[in-house]
Amino acid sequence: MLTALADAPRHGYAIVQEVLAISGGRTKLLTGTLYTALDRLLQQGLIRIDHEEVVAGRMRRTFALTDEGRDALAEETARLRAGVTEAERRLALGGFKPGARPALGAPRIGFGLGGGVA
Amino acid sequence: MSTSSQAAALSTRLPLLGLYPAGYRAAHGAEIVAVFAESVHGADRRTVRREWASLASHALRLRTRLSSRDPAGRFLAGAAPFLLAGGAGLAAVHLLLGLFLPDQFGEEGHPAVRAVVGAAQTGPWILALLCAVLGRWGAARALVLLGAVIRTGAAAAFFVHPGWAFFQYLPLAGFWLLLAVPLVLAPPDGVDLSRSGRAGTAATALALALPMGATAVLWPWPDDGPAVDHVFSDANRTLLDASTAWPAVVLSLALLLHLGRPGADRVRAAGIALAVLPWTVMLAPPYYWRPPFDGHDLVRNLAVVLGLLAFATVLGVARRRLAPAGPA
Repeated sequence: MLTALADAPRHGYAIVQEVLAISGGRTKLLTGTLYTALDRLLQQGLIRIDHEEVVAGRMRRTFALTDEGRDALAEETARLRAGVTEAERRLALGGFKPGARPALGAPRIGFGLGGGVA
Repeated sequence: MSTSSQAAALSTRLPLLGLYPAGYRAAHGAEIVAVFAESVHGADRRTVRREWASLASHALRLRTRLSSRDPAGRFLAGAAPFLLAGGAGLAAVHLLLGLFLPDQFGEEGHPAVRAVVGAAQTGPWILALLCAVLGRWGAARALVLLGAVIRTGAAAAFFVHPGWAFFQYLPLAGFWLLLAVPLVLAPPDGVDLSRSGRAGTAATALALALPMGATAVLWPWPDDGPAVDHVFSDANRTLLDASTAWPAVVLSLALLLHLGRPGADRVRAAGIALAVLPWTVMLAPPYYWRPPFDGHDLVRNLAVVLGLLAFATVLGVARRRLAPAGPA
């Protein structure tokens, strides 16, 4: 949800749509789940209410990241990036090149210090 | 039309909205109805049912003040992983006893039946721990609920037919409910499922299960007669009495470690303390199924547990205060 708010403030249903898009259609937030999370993130100070407006006679809140929320997202991103970098490094050591599948029966390259395939 | 009157009008179209506390409903009811309406538009029946269920759950948690934004919810969420760790640790010990030492507990029923009944009562807690460690708290919660139902059912069945339950688990039926009820009530989204949180849950369970399991399995059990009739020497009895506080010591250590962290949440810390309290029962090794039946023993045990909690709290707070301040 923090990722969904990283580039712009969004209202409730827009967050649902954004999370669906970010996850490639795998995660559809239910309304109760959305508001449970929004309540908690507000309480934790990771998001704030950017503005409120009346749309079609209904009050609608738009949420935005706070500085703390931005820091938390950046921290999590760095952690994930470190994991991805390490996975890529190990795959490279094992002779795997992104986008290329090893041929069946191809000899495996052994693991060795500094002996990986760049 | 005011916001509250709009919400009142909408509540007739979405009766579920009436479950929300009045203040929350007045402030956000219309917005929730709008998002709900957009979410269920064109959706299949299964999705609509899930939407209704999630909305009802959200409303009830706010109504009962057990959401992750409420102190009571955070309190239970702090307790939940440690209640699970304790329950799974003890379940593992009971499973070991039931599977490997079935003859130590009398001769009621067929040994295979005793093993199956024992596994059915302990397995859900152990599986729940595995699910929690994998980050699947919803599944963990469901398994704990299943475990509590099976245990309660087995305990109740004992009164109908004594052969239907492990008799030694009967005195602990209330203890298991003390572990399960707060765990199930805790808001799932408030439980610490970070990598360190899950590692802490697993470590706590292992710290409980390994020494207790080793004591149970490696104990020099008598060759003949049920173990419950065995009389220990004074030296062994003293050692065993002292070791009954082990689960409370482990969980108090978890509290100390939590309090020592920078920015430790006091409400969560209080939750961890709650998870220590059921261990006032101080189950007697090497069987771990006999709670104190004497009120005096229970009061003494409670004093020990409160002493451990006070010691962990003072030490944890002092450790945090004395820690060098981080970069500004």
